[in-house]
Amino acid sequence: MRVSILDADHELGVVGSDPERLVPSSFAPMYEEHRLSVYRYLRAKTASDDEALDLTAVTFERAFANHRRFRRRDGGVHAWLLRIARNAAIDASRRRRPTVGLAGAGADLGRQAVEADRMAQQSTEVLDLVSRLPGDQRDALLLRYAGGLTSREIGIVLGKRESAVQKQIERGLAALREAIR
Amino acid sequence: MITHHDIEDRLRQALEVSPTEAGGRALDDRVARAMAQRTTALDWRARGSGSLLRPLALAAALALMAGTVAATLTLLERITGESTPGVQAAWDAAEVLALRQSDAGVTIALERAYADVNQVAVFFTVEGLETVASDAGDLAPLEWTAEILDPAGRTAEEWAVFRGGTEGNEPGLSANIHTWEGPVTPMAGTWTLTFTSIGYNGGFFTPGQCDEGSTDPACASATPSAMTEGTWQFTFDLPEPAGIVVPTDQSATEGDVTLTVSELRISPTKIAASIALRVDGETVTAWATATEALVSFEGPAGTYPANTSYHVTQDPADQGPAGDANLFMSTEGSDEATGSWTITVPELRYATGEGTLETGTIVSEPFVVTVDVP
Repeated sequence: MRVSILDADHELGVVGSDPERLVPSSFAPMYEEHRLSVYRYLRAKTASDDEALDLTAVTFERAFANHRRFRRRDGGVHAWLLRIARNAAIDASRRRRPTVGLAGAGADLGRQAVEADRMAQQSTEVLDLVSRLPGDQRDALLLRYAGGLTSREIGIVLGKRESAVQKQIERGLAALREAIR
Repeated sequence: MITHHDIEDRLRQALEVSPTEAGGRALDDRVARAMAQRTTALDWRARGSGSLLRPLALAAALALMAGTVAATLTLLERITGESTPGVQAAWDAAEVLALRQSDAGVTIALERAYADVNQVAVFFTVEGLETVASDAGDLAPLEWTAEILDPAGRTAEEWAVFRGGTEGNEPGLSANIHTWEGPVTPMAGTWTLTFTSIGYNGGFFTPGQCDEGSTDPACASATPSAMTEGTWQFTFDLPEPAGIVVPTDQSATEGDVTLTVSELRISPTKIAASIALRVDGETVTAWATATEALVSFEGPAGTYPANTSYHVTQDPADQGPAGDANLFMSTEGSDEATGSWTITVPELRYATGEGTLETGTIVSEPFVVTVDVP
């Protein structure tokens, strides 16, 4: 990990006299803090590691380019980044076209799980099951367990109430338990 | 019996993946480039370089953001020391000038200047400007307008396609490194660098964006930049540029795609190559590497990734027979040019007609071209 600049006295992601704002000097610690969760969320949403890495980079590129639009009241840096990541994944799935050498494009979570030799069989099974859940439940689970968001933050990302998100998560977990039992 | 917690644990475990080392490194590099561009590019863009890609020293940019520098060095030495190996090599080999000019209460000191076959670099400091906080609360970047004339009286626009640099700011002092780069060899002789305005841009906005009467919401809280007008002129001599330019016409073909290296420039601060792509029966409008793998130059003394690229033939009408040309540049150079150089272009993507690179055609096989440098 080469980007390793941290300022311990710095509030991650937001500095300066206006706590609502993101400034360029906060980019490095922001990336440090959220790199892995953004990648994990996108890895679960995409067909290949290359695509997940590409979209992770796209997420931060968009965040840096649009940092002036960030407002803390919109859910904090973490939720903001995962909202950008989710939109990037949606954009990518819309523009996918068959091209030479892009193996795996368009694959679903289940296929991804089969392809990923780093994941154990048990992980493959649970991811395969997640891929079959309704979209809202799947998104909520991935934002919670890959992205590490709270229900309130997930609600901001998905445009739903916190209570509705909690229900989606509970239903998703119940469906998984039922299928694995 | 499987509990709710068991399911959560399995889910967490399944999703607890990390990028491969190479993938993570490529990601870090790409994000660092984006970060560096966002943190210091705005002022360059303000000077009208619409197609500018910045080769900013990534580690330097990040280190500057964190302020992790040694207190015993001057600010200019510090930002140089944190910059790319190429910039450090330029600093070490540069002509020591120590020229100072004052006007309108502002003193600019041109400490060093350097030229090789790939670039001209100047190292200067600015004192006397009132420090401005950006509207976001941190130190605002320095913005300046200047013209550099080469010994033949040509402006930079006539011979450089690419401008780059980095800066470090402390209250009351700004240190800057600026480079002009391109596929035209700088000339030995007397150069003139003239600054005509300088100041801090507190609003991070580009000229025209926040003019009086602008309705852009982003301008509501923008601090206007406070430019000081004046004349700070420096005249200095630069010796014959170091390095070698090797014209070549080496090609590699995969199917109907031909890639041609037309020129290789090897200097102590960077390696650069003009590379064109042609597809039989098509007009290529743009091309780039398809993944985070970079074009690389492998020479007698090491391998140099091309961290920076510039699209040379932006208008297809300007294309030569070799097709659409890009200039690829590393941020580290070599003193050892003689020998065999291998240029590798990894998986690439090209666009034709009205298409874009995002939807372009991918060529997965790498192109490898070898150039013998006498």
